[in-house]
Amino acid sequence: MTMIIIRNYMTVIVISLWAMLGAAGAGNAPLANTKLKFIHVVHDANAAHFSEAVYVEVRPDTDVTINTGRGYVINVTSQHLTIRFIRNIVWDSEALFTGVVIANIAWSNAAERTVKAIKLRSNIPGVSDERSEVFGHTALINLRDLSTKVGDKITIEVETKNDSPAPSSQLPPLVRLIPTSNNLL
Amino acid sequence: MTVRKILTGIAFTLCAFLSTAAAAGPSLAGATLKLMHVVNDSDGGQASSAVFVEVLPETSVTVNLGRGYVVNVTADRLMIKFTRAEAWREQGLFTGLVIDNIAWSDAPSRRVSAVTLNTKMPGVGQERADISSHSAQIDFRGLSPKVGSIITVNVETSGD
Repeated sequence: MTMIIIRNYMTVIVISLWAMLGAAGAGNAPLANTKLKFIHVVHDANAAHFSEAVYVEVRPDTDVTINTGRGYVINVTSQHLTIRFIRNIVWDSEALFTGVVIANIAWSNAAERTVKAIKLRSNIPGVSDERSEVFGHTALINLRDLSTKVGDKITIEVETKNDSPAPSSQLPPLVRLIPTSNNLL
Repeated sequence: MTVRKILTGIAFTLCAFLSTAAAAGPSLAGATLKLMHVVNDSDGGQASSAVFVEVLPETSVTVNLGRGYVVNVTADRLMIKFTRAEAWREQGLFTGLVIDNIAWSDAPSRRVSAVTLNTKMPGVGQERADISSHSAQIDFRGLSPKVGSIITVNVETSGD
C-alpha cells in the first residue's frame, strides 16, 4: 500500500516536472510569429547596395535555411538565428557597413513591430555585441573587417515586440486553398 | 574590304538579335515569390513556414525548408534539388511545393501564367504542375527522388 502511495506521488511529481519543463520550453521561442526580413547590405562612401530581400514567416517549428549567395547561410528557427559562413572571406574594411540587416516586419504594420534586443554569440575573433545594433524594427550585424572561415558561426538571439499572430496560423484548410489559392495570403 | 564590313554588320545584327531574344525570355525579376511545402490530405492541409523571395535580375537565393529538398531561385527559373532520398507518399490530395506570385498589397492582380518542368527524373511530367490564379503547385506524390535529383521549374508570371 505504502509503495503504491509513494509511486503515485512520484508519478505526480514527474508529470508536474514534465509540464513545467514543457511550459518553459514553449516560452523559449521568442521569434515564433515574427516575420523576419533578411538583406545583405554593403554601404560604402558612395551609396548603399541592398541584396534581394528574403522573408521568413517564423513558426514554433520553423527550421529554414537561406543562402543569398554572399558566402554565408542563415538558419532561422523560432529560438535563434545562426549565420554560418560557407566561404573564407576577408570582409571589406573600407565600407561603412557590410553585413546582414534583419527587420521585424509585417505586411501592413511594419512601423509598430520593432526589434527590442539583439545578442551575438560566436567564437570568431572580433565578433562581439558591438557589431550589432538595433534601430527601430531593424537589427544590423556588421561583418566589416572580419576574416571568416568556412564553418564559422554567429548565433544571434533577437527579441522582438508588437508581433501579432502569424497569418499562416490562420490559414483555412488547404483542401479549400489549393483550388482557390487567392486566399493564400 | 566591303565584304568584311558587310559580314561585321551581319555579325553585330545577329549578336544584337540574339541578346534581345534572350532578354525577352521568361524572367522572374520583379516578382515576389512565396515558397511553401504543403501536405494536403483528406483531413486538411498543412503548410510549412512560408519563405518569400523578392527576385532581382541577379538573384540567386537557395531556400531550405527542411523537407528534403532545396529550392534555388534566380530571375530565370527555379530549381528543386533533392537533398534526401525520400519516397514521397502516394496518399493525400497533394504533397509538394507551392509557389505563389504575390505582392504585399495587390496579390490578386499578380498571377502565374505558365509553369514548365524540366527533369530527367522518372515519373515527372508536365501533369505534376498545376496553376491556380497566382499559385503554381508541383506535386511530389509517389515520387522517389535520389539525392541530387533536380527539377527545373520555368515559371512565367503576369501582373508584376
